Amino acid sequence: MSFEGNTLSPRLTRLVETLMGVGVMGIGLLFLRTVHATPPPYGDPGDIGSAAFFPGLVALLVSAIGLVLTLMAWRPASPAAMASGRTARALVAYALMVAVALGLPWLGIWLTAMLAVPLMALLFDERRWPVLLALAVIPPTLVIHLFEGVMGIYFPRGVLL
Amino acid sequence: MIDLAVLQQGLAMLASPWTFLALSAGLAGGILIGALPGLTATMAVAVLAPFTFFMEAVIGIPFLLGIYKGAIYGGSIPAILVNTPGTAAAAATARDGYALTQQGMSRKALELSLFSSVVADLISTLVLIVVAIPLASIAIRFGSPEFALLYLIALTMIATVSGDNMAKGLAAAGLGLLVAVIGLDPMSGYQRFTFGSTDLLAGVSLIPLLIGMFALSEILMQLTHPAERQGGAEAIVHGGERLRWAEFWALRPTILRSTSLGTFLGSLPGLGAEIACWIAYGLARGRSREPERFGKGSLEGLAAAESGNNAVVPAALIPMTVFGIPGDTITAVLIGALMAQGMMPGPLLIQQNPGFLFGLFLVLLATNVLLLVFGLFAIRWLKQVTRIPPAVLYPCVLLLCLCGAYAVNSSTFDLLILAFGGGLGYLMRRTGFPIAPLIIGLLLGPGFESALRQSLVFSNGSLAIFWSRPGSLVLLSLLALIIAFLAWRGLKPRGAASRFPWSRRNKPHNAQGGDS
Repeated sequence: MSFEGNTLSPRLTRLVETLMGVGVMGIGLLFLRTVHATPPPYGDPGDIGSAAFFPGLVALLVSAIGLVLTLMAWRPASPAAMASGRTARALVAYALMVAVALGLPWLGIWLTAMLAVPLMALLFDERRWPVLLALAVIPPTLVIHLFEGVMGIYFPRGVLL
Repeated sequence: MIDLAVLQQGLAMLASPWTFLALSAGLAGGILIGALPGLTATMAVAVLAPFTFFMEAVIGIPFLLGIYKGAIYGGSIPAILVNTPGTAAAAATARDGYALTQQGMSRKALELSLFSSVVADLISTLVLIVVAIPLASIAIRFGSPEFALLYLIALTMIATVSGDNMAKGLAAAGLGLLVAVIGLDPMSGYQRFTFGSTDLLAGVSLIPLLIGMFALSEILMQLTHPAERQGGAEAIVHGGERLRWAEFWALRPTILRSTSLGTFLGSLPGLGAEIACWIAYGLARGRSREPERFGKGSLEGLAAAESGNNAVVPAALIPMTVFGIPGDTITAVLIGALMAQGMMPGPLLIQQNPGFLFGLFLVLLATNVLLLVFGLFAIRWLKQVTRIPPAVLYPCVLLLCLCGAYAVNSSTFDLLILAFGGGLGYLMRRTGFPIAPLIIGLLLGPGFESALRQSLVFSNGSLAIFWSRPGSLVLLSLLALIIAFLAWRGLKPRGAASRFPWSRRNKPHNAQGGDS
C-alpha cells in the first residue's frame, strides 16, 4: 500500500471508495435476491401486504445508492483524502476482539478478561510488566464483581476451568 | 388542565433518594468520562445503558440523562486545560479556552464554560417543557401516513446532514433499515433474513450493536490514530483569576443567542452538539465587536461554543418525547434504554406515562443545579484525569463493553453482534460513512415499515393518501422543501461550503468519529 504523508494515495482512495460502493450494492442485491427467491405469499415484494414489500423496496434503494457510490468513486475529480494511520495494529486489535467474543463461552470470563485486557494494553504500547500484571488482575476483578455481585449477571465460567 | 396525580407522581420521582443518587452518580460519571479524551458522550451512554436494565425506569433513565449532560459538559475541561476536546462537541471550546489557559486564565475559562453550560441547559430545558406537551397533543392525532412521512423526513435529514457525502449518509440509513428488517415481520409474523438462527428471531440486539459501533470502533480508531501529546501543555500553570460577575453579565447576548441556536438545532433530527458548537461560534464571531480576538482567548467565543453545545442536550429530547424520533445518536441510545424498560417513546409515552415524563422534566431541571455543584468540584479536582494513559483506559473500556453487551440478554450471540458492530463501525468511520444514519435507520425501521404499509393498505395501494389529508400534506410539503434545500446546497460550488467552520471538506474525512 502506498501512502502520501498521512493520507492514502488518490489511487488507493479510489479503490477503497469503489470497494465500499460495490459492497453496499452487493448487500442490497443480496437482500433483493433473498426476497425474490422466496416463494409467495412471503416472497412477493410487489404486494403491500407481503412481508417482502418493505425489505424489497429498501434493498432496491440500497442497491441503487451503492451503484451511485461506485460511479462517484470514478469521477474525474479525485475523491476526498482518506487518512492512513496504523491500520495493521487496529486489525490485530479487532482480531483480538473477535477472539474474545468467540472464546468467552469456552475460556470463561476470568481467563478471557485476564488475557484480553493486558493484550489490548500491549497494543497501546504499554510494555511495563507490573502495569500489565495490574491490568490483568484489577480491572477484571472489579468489573466482574460489579456485574455479578451488584447486578446479578453471571458470566460463563468456560469449559477449561 | 393539570392533573394533580401526575404532578404528585413527578414530584415523588424527583424526591426519591434513589433517583437523586442515580442522577448524581450519572452526572459525576458523565463529567469524568467526558473529561477523558477519546471517550465520547455517545460511547459513555451506550456502554453504561445495560446497567440501567436492572434498575427501575425512574432510577435508570435519570442515570443515563446525568451521564449525557455530564459528558457533554465534561468534554470542555480537557479542551480548555490541554487543548484536547474530551468530546467532539467541545472542539470549538478548545480554540479560545486553551488560548485563555496559555494566558494563565484557565480558572476563568473553566468557570465561564460551566456557567454558560448551566444557563444554556436551563433555558433549553424550559423550552422542552413548554413545547413538548402541546406538540405531543398534536402528534397524538397523527395517523399512519403522517408518521410514515415524519419518519421519512427524519431519515432524510439525518442521512444528509450527518456527513460530508450525502450518498454515503443515505447508504448508511438504508443499511440501518435493512438491519431493522431482520427478524419477524411486524404484520404477518414471517421470519425474514434469520437464516434459521433462533437468535435473530427478535432481530439484531440494539444495545450490543450500539456498544460495538460506538465504543469498540472508538478503541480501534484510537489505535489507528493515536492522540498526539499537545506541545507545551506541561509547562502551563493552571489557575489564575476568577470570572467576575460583570464579565459574565456582559456576555448575556452571546449566551442567549447561542442557546436559542443550540435549542433550535438540537430539536431537529440529526444535528448534534458537535455541529451546534461550531455554528454558535461562527455566529458569535460574526456579531462580535472584536472578531479578531476569536481563537486568541475570546470570552465571547468560549461562551458561545459552550452554550451552543449544551443547549442541544435538552432540545434533542423534544423529537424523542414528542414523536419517538431520536434527535441524535445519544437520544437513539436513550430510546433503546426506554424500550428495554417497556416504554415506547413518542406521543404514547405522554399519554401512558405522564407522571414519569413530568418527573423526567423535573429531573432535568434538578440536573442543572447539580451540574453547577459538580462542575465547580470538577474544575478544582479533575485536572489529573486527563493524564490517564490510553494503555490503561481503553483495555478497561473493552472489558466494560464485553460485560455490558453480555448483560443485556445473557447471550453469547450478543458478543458476536458486539464484535460485528465494532468492525462495521470502524470500517464506516475509516471510509467516511456516518454511523448516526445507520443507527437511527435501525431504530426507526420497524415504525417506518408499519406506518408505510398500514397507509398503503388503507388506501389500497394509492399514494394519494400522502397528500389527501391536511397533516400529511403539510409534512409532504416540508419534505419537499428539505429535499429542495439539500439539492440546492449540493449544487453550490464546493468552496462555498468551506466558509462554514464546521465543514470537514478540507481535512481527511475519517479523522473524526462524528459522534458527540
